[in-house]
Amino acid sequence: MIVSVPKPLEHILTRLDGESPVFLVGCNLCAAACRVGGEREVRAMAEALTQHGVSVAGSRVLDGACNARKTRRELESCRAALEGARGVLVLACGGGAQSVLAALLDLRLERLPVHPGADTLMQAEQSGPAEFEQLCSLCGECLLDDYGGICPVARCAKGLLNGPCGGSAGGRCEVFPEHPCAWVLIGERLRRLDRLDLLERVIPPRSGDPRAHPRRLRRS
Amino acid sequence: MSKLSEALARGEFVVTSEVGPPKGTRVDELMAKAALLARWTHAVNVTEQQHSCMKLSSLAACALLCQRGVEPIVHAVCRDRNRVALQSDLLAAWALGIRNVLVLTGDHPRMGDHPEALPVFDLDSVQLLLAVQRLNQGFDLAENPLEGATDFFAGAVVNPTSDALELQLIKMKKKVEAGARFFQTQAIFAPERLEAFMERAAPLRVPVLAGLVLPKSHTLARFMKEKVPGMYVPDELIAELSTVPKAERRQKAVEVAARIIRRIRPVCQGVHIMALGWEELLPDILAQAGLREKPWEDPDNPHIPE
Repeated sequence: MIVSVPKPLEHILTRLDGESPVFLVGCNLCAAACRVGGEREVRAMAEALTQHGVSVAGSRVLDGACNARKTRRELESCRAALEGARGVLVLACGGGAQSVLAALLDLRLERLPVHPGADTLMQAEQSGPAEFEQLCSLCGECLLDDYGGICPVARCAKGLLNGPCGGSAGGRCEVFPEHPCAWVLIGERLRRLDRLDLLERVIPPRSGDPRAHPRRLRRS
Repeated sequence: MSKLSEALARGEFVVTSEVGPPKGTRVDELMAKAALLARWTHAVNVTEQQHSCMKLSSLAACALLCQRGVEPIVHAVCRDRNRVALQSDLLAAWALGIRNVLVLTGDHPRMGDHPEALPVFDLDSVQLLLAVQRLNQGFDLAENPLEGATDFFAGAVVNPTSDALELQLIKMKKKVEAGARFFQTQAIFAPERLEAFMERAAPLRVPVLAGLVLPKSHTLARFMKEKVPGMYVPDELIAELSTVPKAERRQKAVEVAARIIRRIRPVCQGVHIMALGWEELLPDILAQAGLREKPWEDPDNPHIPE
């Protein structure tokens, strides 16, 4: 899922800068799972804003803000409340916030500023009730087969492809000691599979840019 | 031609050392230190943004050293430059007279004085060695022909005391395949660790210069043991250093360094001495280790620059 964290309320209030009333948008997928933009969080935000003198024109928790057509339809059903609002606050990922903007432009509500209420961190696996770990960096070309199923692009702080740097100690990463050294994990895994030979091949520079953006996919 | 590669080809036991460029533009101290080291060594490494701290570049400092007749080893690091900038700087280094290059991954920016800097790592150290090899063959990484190739003597690093030694050895082998023709190692304080490592590395038939940090005090030794990942410092050495009165520390550092060199000399092809400010002790260390008979007094010594 896409993991996000709420922006501090003071920051949100500063950026709203007197835009009252606001319309609140949440998302019941990732944002709800990270407790950023589900029903509960949208309600809590409405209360907090009201306490700080910002009135709320209405709210909607979208069924997947990243689905453009659905988002447009759902927001269209809220047109009256949106027309009475002076701004929109989106409690979802950055993609969700921009999908909301696209819908508003489409609905001729272009005068409404759209504010992000969250910071988007990563695509990650939920490893505990409130714990998320990045295992994939969406690099565009999956190399897991070469590394026993453990990704050095996302999980090595330097994204090295040919083996560990000198900063691995006690199985931990020198840069982020709360993380295991990805290369130690890869080594253990490949040893287990008796495939350490996979690490013996010189991996040439990547031809696809793992950080290339913007990206677009159009399936035929 | 690289004098370092010639000395290794002759089978000489090679000595290198290193200097770190300043944070700023004042290079006189660096030049003086390098000139001093050059009298007793085959080549002098010039570090690049060491520990990810922003400094004057290795390339510029090496070019200045070339002008003074000192043979430098430029450091090429993957942290700050993409493949375009790295290759461009390598061409520049060659054009400026630099013949030796040491390829390193580089510390992460988080470890340095600009922790917010974007880490690049477009290439890793093995891939950067491939780039050097390709430039040596007259092509860039995109297979465009060069107007004038390089002919670098390329080296790399390895950590013989790593607790992930198996992976270090696999990577070392790949570095050799990618064109590394000499290695400098992480600091060695326990000769038996290097001996064990060399038993496994010897089949690669590539010269290894063992890293040596002057054990200036037990505090430094303990710091390196506890704070430098992957560095192994035996407790006996820390104990030995802790009994030394302050006035005798320099003498002790010379004695320990010379003792380690004598012990490891049969298994490796040279030493890389990191003197940490005590550069003037180098001749004593080399003399005690039986490597040089006061070479600075020998008018025929090829390593003494004008």
